[in-house]
Amino acid sequence: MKSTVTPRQVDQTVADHEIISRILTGERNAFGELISRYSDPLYRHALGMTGSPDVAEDILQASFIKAYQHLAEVHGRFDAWIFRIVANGCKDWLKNIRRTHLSYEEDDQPSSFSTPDEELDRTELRSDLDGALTALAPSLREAFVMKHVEGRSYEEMADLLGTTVGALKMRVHRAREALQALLEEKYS
Amino acid sequence: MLEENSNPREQRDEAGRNKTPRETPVTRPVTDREVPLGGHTMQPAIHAWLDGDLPESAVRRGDMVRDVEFWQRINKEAEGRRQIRSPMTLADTIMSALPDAAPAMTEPWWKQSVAISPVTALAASAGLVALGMALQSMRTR
Repeated sequence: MKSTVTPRQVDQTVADHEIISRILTGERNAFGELISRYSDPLYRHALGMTGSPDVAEDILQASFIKAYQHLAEVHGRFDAWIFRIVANGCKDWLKNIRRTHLSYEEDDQPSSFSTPDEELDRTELRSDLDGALTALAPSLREAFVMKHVEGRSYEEMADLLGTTVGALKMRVHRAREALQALLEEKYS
Repeated sequence: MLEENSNPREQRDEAGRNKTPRETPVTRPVTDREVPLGGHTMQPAIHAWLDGDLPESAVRRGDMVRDVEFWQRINKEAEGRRQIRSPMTLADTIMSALPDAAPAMTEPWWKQSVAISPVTALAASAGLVALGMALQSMRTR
């Protein structure tokens, strides 16, 4: 697979490894730096995958604790490594749970809509999009969330998931078609 | 649940015939392992636009206008979620839940020290001597 590591990622990886070295030599509080560096994008991923703020928080907590316990095993990029732990945590949760209805808490997201009508439409669309995402297989949901919600490039996704750009494009395309089939009657 | 399905054979019945078209997913609960097509096939140009390979002006025409407007709404909602941040208390919660023990340093097996008791060392030496003698006797035959 073609490497897509940028100079910024190299700097970040070096900085991460310096923090990891400090933690391994007993500076436990340095782990907080890794948490603050990566918790936002990881939380967004977990929230997109599970649809539940509480579950996303639990998955992040378990993932960071697991990461801490196995920190000495990180030899490559910490961000990719912790992402895989979180992504696997989300997929495990999806396998084990039969969801009824979970949605984002209303005040968790900033609004880009101005009028009350737009706000109402937005709430409805958000809920419908969550419902439609629930109907997707985890691998399709993961690809859609990474592309459309997290705004990642296919190359970055391939790098994080250890698969090919072609396979991911296929998953995103399938996810889009499924979502449009589920939502177009109401929103087209 | 709609399932990713890259195997076209799974869309055929046991006799190898194409399965009959399904109902659209909005009319009934979707089942496990369902192929997410639901009767709708997006034009490749729409995917190319959504992937950033085509400008909006290239797809905002004819039948595709409806798809463009649909995806603009979805993207606006999806992009709004990029501003979401993790809860303020998350870092503290994680730090307080960390185990007291520092993460273990792991060394490759060939660098790790091995503890052998004198009895084990003697037994191993005796075994090696016996093996050597056995090999020697085989060679002399």
